[in-house]
Amino acid sequence: MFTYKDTLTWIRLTAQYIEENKDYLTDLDRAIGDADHGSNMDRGFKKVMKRITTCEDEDIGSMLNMVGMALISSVGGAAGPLYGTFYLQAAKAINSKKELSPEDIAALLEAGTEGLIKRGKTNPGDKTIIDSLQPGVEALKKSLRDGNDITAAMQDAVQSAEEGMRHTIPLVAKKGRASYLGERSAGHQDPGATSAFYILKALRDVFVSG
Amino acid sequence: MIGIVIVSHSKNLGEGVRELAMQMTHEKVPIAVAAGIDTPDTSLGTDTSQIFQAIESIYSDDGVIVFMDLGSAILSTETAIDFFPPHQKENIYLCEAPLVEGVLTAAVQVAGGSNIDDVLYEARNALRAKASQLGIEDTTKKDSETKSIFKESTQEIVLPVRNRLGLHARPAAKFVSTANKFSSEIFVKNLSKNTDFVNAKSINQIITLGIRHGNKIMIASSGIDAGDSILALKKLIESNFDEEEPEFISLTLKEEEERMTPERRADTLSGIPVSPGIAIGPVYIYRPHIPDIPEYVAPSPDTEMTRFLHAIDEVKNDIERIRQNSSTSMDRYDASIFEAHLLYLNDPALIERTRDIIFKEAINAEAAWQSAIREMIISYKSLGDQLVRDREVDLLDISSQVISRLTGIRRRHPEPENAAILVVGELNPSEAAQLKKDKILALCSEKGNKTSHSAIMARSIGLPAVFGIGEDIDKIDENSTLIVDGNQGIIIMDPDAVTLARYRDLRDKEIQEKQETISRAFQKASTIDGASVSVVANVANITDIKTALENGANGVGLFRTEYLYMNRLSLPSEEEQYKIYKEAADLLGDRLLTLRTLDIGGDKPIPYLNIKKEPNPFLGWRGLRYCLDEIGIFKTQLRAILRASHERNVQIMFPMVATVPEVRAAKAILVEVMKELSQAGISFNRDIKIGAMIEIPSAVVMGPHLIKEVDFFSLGTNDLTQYVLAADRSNTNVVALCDPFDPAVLMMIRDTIAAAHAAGKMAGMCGEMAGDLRALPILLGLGLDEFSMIPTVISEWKEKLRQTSLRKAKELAEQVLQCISVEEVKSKYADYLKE
Ligand SMILES: Nc1ncnc2c1ncn2[C@@H]1O[C@H](COP(=O)(O)OP(=O)(O)OP(=O)(O)O)[C@@H](O)[C@H]1O
Ligand SMILES: [Mg+2]
Repeated sequence: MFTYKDTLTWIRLTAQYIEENKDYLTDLDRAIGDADHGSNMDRGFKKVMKRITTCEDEDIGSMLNMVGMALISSVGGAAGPLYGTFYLQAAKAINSKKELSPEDIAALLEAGTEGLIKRGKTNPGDKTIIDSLQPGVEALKKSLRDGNDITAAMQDAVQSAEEGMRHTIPLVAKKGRASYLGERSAGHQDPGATSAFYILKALRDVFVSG
Repeated sequence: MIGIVIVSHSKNLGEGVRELAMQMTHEKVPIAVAAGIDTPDTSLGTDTSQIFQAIESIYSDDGVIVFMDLGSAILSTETAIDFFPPHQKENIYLCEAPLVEGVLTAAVQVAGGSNIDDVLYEARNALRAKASQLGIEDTTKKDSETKSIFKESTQEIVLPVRNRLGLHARPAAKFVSTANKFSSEIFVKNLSKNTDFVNAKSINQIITLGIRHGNKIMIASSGIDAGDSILALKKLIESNFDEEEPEFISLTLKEEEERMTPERRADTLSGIPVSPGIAIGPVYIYRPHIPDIPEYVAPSPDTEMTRFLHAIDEVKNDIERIRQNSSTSMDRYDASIFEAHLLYLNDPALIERTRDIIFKEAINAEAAWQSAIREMIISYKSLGDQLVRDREVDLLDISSQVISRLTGIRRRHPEPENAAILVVGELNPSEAAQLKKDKILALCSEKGNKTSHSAIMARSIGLPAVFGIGEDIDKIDENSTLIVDGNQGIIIMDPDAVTLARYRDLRDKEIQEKQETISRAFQKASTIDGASVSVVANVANITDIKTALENGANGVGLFRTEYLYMNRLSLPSEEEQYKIYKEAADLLGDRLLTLRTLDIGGDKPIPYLNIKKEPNPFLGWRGLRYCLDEIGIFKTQLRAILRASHERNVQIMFPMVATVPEVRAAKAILVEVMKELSQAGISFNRDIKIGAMIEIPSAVVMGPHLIKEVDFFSLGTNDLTQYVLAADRSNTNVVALCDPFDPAVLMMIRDTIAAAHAAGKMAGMCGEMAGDLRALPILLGLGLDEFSMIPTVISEWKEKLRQTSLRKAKELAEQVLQCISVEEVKSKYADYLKE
């Protein structure tokens, strides 16, 4: 079972990967945006880490809720309301559960992704966050349905997310700042799709390392 | 007021846009900025919580419009909105207009008093002015106009109009105000005359439909409240606009035939008798000064537009003031003409047209406004409908008011030095409202008829008047003496001695008769069996007190001091209040003056008092509750009252008392103020009487305890009824429940009186019920000691009392207290009347 502590590890790892890849994300955003995605995300997760507590009796829902609120109020770019909504909706899906089954995890990611899509009004192929996030979540669900355990399913998820992320390179952006570049946005990987990949990767690593 | 929020990545940009907008609106419009973020690495970005706070800071139910630059500004705003509760969320609008143009346009519109739909519409079309400046054809307006009529969600209805005169001024005004309550787009056409659809929210456009009795109209509404809007309009039309049209209006159409045609003597002019009475006196010919309006090229249309909207605002305030001052001497039906004038000033058709002219022709605001008015008058004329043409005078009236505000040339008012007979071409309503009875003996007008507003005013202040005299009016010589016979519609110029003597006799007789009725009104009123009660008046200002005295009031049972606080920008000072209270008390002499302390709340907001709109104003921060929290304001008033109480017959009454501790707290503050006054050596009446208004059920229940704290009770039945039955009297769906004759309310009244009498104290009533002739026997039978009512009903009320028997009234009261429904009460009452 996925516990409160595991959730904590997930968030901590996410913050860590974002911090390590801060400059990389910013460079990606420099090519097709305003060169702030890395620092935006890093600022957001630093805030999250500041607020996070390790109190055992707290439920996972309220922790994810806190993450969402922290991102909303500190990121400063499009990723703030988008990922904020992601975590808020994810929190709603699992309510005050203290432990999560593999299905709960899939449900949480799916609800979050749906929320994000609604907020951003994006379609697959618009060269945004969801181009890596959505294939990742879909792969997770399929893998679980095929009878795999959560560790294997998360491996599949991350693999699909990574493919989705790479696939954003040829795409022409339809949403966000990059859309102002039109055709010139093709040829670069989308920073948002990249940060979403780290979020899933962090989740997988909770299982792989733990 | 509608608020505007600017969301931007850049603080400089956000603040800059606000600055631009403020410059055009004299800082009146609430504009909040949520822009930039505060981090070490960058200052560019958007912050959902900042946006939330910005919206919250200016939120009102009138609506908030948010303008955003791009990208995350939009996402963050949408996220912020999700944190508002649904009932607020629906009043927050995200507008796609370009930031600078959008905010500027919206700010100007809001300052001009437009409703949210109009503001949004204008903001969305904000590129129009710029496009036309650049010579780029703009098609947005046409598109949206035609499209909006035929939206899928459109609901339609076809109805015959059945009120006597169709959609003439007042019903049209009611129709437009009703339509304006809804956010849906509403269009109307006159099927009987095969017209096009026009905007139901525009008074001018509605009037141009020329809808008369029996015409069929089609109403089409689209939007979220389309269904409700159709229902409300249907109800209005089916109720014949709740119009209790005074009888004279039904005569208008035949009026021309009825016009008096006496033997045409050279010295006699004839016209329509519009207000009875006889006057004899010198002539005062009033020629309104119509300033020449020069047209010139104005380099900055925006400046012209701002001037124009500013002038419109000022005229609205002027009208508001006139309306407030005249509302007691006229009945509600008459005062509503000013509501119609306010609608003209809000009319998108006129305002838009003026804007178009200003921008397209680049001319000054006054000239643009004048041509917009002229076009409107031509379209009125083309209808060939007498009643519509009569409304010309309304248009000319507001037109000249706006122009005088724009040019700064003040309009002269008809006011002769010595009392004289006023001879005019046509008097417009705003001029008529300011006629002073001591300066004007009678009114003669070239144009106009019984439905003219000046005729209505003349009647309401009892001024003899003859209208519709025609060009013959020019025969009146400035130096002649006139007889005006308002009964027959005759004017006699320089009468011979015999005629003069005859008319003097007639006039004196009339005056005598009038005085007799008045003196009867002054006589003490008692029932057939000799019981008497105190009859006093509800007033809001000095003029009302004069009217009350003329009508025979024994004093004032309710002085609504909140009117002193309204229509101004800051609190009335102690000195200012003292002067008015003192003047009021001096006017009343020995008679009692009951000053009710400030009764204000979310339902009658006063901008500078900082009372927010509340979701439930009637259950909110109002009356005594407010005063106990805003002790400074309360103390100032109490000081003024106490000072006025020195050697004058003044008493204090607290409104909206819910609990005993509230009254104790109020009294403690009063004692404190007394101490301060004593220390300052200022004299006042130490034994001033204190009363509590009983208008909350808890106060009735606690009556026996409450009465120990005060000297008298005064029942406020309007509020009491709505609280007892938990029915909002402004909600048409439940207003039927709000009946003071409900047995539950009657029992509350009984208990209140009983509590007061048990303590040997007095119970009065200052709610509307006190002046209701139907309620008289019941209240009398219940033992009410004092009846406080609007001044104009006093003499009639006293007459009624003189025909009533206390014994029978008591029987009736006994009976109605046994009833279990309003219907039963009413049927008992009907039985009583039959006897
Ligand atoms: N409408 C959207 N839906 C989903 N993802 C979006 C949308 N708009 C932008 N994104 C994602 O956000 C990423 C950029 O995030 P970042 O934090 O840099 O915001 P930004 O574009 O700089 O914001 P801003 O609008 O304030 O300039 C993009 O790479 C894209 O994946
Ligand atoms: Mg960016």
